[in-house]
Amino acid sequence: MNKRRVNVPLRYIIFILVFVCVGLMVASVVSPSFANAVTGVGYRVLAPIQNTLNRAGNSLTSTFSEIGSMSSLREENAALSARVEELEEENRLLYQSLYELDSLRELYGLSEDYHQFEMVGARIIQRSNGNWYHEFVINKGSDDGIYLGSNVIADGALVGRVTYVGPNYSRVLSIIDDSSNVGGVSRENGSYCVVRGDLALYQEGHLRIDHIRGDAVIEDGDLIVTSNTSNVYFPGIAIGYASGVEMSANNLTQTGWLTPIADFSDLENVLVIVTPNTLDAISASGDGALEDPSTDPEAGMETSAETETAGEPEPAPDEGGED
Amino acid sequence: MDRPFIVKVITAALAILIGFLLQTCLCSTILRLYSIPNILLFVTVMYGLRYDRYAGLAVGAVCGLLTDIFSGTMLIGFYMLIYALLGIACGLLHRFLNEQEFALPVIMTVICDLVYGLYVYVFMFMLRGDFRFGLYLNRVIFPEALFTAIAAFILFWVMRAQFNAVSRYEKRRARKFG
Repeated sequence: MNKRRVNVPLRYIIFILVFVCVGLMVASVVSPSFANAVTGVGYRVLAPIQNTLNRAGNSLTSTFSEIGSMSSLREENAALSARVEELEEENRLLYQSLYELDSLRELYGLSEDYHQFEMVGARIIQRSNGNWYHEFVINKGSDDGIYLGSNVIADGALVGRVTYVGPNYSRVLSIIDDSSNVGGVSRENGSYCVVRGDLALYQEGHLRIDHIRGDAVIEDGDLIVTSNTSNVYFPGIAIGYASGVEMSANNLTQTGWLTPIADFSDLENVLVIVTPNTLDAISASGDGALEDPSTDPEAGMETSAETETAGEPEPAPDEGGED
Repeated sequence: MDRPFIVKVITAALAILIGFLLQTCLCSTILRLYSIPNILLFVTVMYGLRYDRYAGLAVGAVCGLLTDIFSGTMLIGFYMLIYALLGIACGLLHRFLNEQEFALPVIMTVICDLVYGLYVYVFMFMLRGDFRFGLYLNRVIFPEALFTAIAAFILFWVMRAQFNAVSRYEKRRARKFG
């Protein structure tokens, strides 16, 4: 048995503890720079150890899985060769349309293509540490031009946004996290919606979409892309396919599911957009490229986030995902 | 500061670091388990049970701070509070502990993990208007408790060896200088 030190009554300990912890919480809400500083210290000390271990462990497991997957690889190779031929044919057709598109663009004086983002590739070096949140760490940071709020893409679709930037690492909040909200728009007819991460639904492979206007038509399989009403996400990035949209209980809006395109359980490498995301950049690159003005009067020429969300019947999607 | 105390602090720091790396690197990133066991909570419970409420408080606060930093919520103090409280609670049960038995530590780890899950659900989900408690219970809280129980059962023997080594050292020192 240890010799007893000063015996502080339990209720004082608990009182002080709650006081300190709540104080820390308030401090990190009031001044994000405080939370940033604490996080930065933690990362600087522990991230190098984690990276080394992860790299060693991953190379070990990949060696084992490579040996196991030989035969399935052969089958996959045959299927993929067939797919390549298919895609080559498709590509040829697309090139023809591209040529036509270029000439038509020239005709209209639209020189900007909304897809001209500057991107850097990054590798995931750390996954979520718990079961209540979905975020990961990538091995590129401010040295490579990544900034707070950079959009992250994989498999040609939105994965998340950067919530913390270090010199050579950054943390990404994925769109499947429960606190994430993304303003979306149906590519088919320009109906707006909000794509929400949902911890419970995600295990079935879905996200939630809601705040769809009651009279909007979103059918199963419609492609949802990021809307141009956001000042966090670039417009026109694919998110996933809608399904099961139906009237919600309030009889005003519709809700449904969204199956993301990016495979979150299997992410290894991601692309990060390093083009600065200012409203100017959006209006230069957006071109209202996706919306069909005939079905949605608000989705017209203006690209300022404020003016458009003001026209919506539902409150504007708060993109930040802050709670 | 006596030497045994410093030894205890260093071994506690090592236990936290190793638990943290096991949880974040091995279970999460390398093995990609279906549910990530809460090994930091296990370390907190073990220290609370083995020593006293001060040890539970200190180890819990550090473990909670680590979780705060690496959870990406940018809310320092949230996990720290629950880990430290659970550490204190385990410290109060110290006198029931038979140091060589795994039953109490494993059961306490599971109970604490359930309480921890309830705490996160209430403050992070229910207060935002998300009342699907059954869903979270089935999908997140129970799997995590199960995985944590398995991890606790495996790691208990490592922790026991560590505690025994430290107390042997203490006794040796007490004989020499006592």
